[in-house]
Amino acid sequence: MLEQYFPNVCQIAGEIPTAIIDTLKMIFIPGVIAFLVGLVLAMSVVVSRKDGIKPNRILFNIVDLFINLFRSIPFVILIAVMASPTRLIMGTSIGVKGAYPALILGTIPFFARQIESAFREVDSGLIEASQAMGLSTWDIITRVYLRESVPSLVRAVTITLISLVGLTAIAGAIGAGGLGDMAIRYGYNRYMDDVTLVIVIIILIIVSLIQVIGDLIIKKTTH
Amino acid sequence: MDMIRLEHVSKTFTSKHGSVEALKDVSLTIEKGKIFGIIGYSGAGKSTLIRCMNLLERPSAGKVWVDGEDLMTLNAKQLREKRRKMGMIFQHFNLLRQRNVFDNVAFPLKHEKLSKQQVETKVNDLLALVGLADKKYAYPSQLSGGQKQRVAIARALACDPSVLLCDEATSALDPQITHSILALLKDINRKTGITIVIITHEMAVIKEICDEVAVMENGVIVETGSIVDIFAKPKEKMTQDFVNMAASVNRIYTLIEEGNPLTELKSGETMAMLRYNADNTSQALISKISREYGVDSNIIFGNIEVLKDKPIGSLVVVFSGSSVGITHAMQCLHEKGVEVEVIRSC
Repeated sequence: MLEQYFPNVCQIAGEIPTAIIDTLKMIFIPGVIAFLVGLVLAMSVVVSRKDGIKPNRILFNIVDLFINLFRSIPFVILIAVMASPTRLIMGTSIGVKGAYPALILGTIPFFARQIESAFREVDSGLIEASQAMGLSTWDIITRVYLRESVPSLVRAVTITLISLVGLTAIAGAIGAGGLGDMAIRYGYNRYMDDVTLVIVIIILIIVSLIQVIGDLIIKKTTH
Repeated sequence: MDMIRLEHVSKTFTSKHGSVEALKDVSLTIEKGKIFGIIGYSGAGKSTLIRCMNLLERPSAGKVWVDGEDLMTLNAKQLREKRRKMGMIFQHFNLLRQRNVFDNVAFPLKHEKLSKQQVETKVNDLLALVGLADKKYAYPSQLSGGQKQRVAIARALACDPSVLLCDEATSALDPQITHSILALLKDINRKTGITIVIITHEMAVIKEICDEVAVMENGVIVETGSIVDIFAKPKEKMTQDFVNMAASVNRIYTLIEEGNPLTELKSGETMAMLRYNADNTSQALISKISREYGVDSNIIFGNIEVLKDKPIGSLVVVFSGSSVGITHAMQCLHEKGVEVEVIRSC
């Protein structure tokens, strides 16, 4: 029966596990790196803004401009722009490895804004109370901002990882590998609709898993 | 001895829309161990004033002395250390939502170099002091407003401060809970001798626990004095307004406006407000004027408080008798130190 309804899928079934692993790699490796960089950027924006705990107009303007600039570049174009630098850094501009720099750079601004809004949810009264208690800037960052915004941070991570799934598919379309690449090569170019269907289902499962796990952690960490 | 001394403190906020003088040359001395109240309407500058006491707001000019140290000369690290010795509580409690009660109270203890055991003992003692020993593992979201403020008080006291600053600490609480929080603050003041500064817009709060009070308006302290003096002999209009508000005796004006039958006068009657201060309330003045001038006094509204063990308050009375008698009676009361204000006569 499987062969009747999914003739092409059976033919190329061997490629699916590798594609899944490639996609997961392209989600989580850039995800982790973009999270760390985004965290630092978001924190510097929140701390250095005019009503922040250490206002610094120069730092604020630079970081803010960087985030806005890269956020406004469409991802497909970013991949094109990044092709040469990627070859320089990674040694290749194709495959999973070639997709990392563009994925990271494309995710950082989005992540930074998400994390920034998580930090800004922390009550300003609480920040004032912390200053009144004699906490240093570093203490306020680590013990108040980071600690108090854990549920919002998890939400930011969930949203960003899911949007990263979309980016990996775009990257796949121009030779990065993974599920997106398969959907284009077989489903689109060779009219193998059953392959497209199976890939859609797999991606749906990945997205759902990220969402469910994210929601679970949010629930566990919210008091 | 002075605990807090502000010398010619001014604070100007500048923005695109111009500048606002929140504090204008404010000088203030708060003695050690006292409960000091600062009252004013919103926008009077009282929140800015209390924030100047721990430099959450840095004055544009002037000096801030706390416990013999000029805060303006401290560097960032010294200021942080100083702030640890100054507790502060707020209108909206400002607890850490992701930490339970125990961790909230232990929060400021991180730099105190205490062992885990010492922290445990300390926090347990503080929670016992504020009456929340059984809520140790609850999260702020599970507590009522009054309980949250108790946690905030315990947290503010964690580093054994010499001063406790209260910024509208009871304004978000209902009267009954306010009463219990104030009682707790008074109790802590007695037990530890901590100096407490209270900012509020409610005279009832001042009346309940303060030793001394300053009245603020438009960034200036218009009047300051012991609570008994302020209530008995308010000099400034603003102070009188606050005193009347607390005394509820001002309701008489509302009643007159509404045409309440209680306020209707017969011919020859005079309605007057009598303000008693501590020295004369115990004298039998009402019966004295009845005997000597043949003036009957019908008390229609009254409010006598005991402040610092002295009775203080106001009565609204309707005098009836001959007009000469009434005039003499009012003169007699005035001589005895009772302020007489004729509300209306017929």
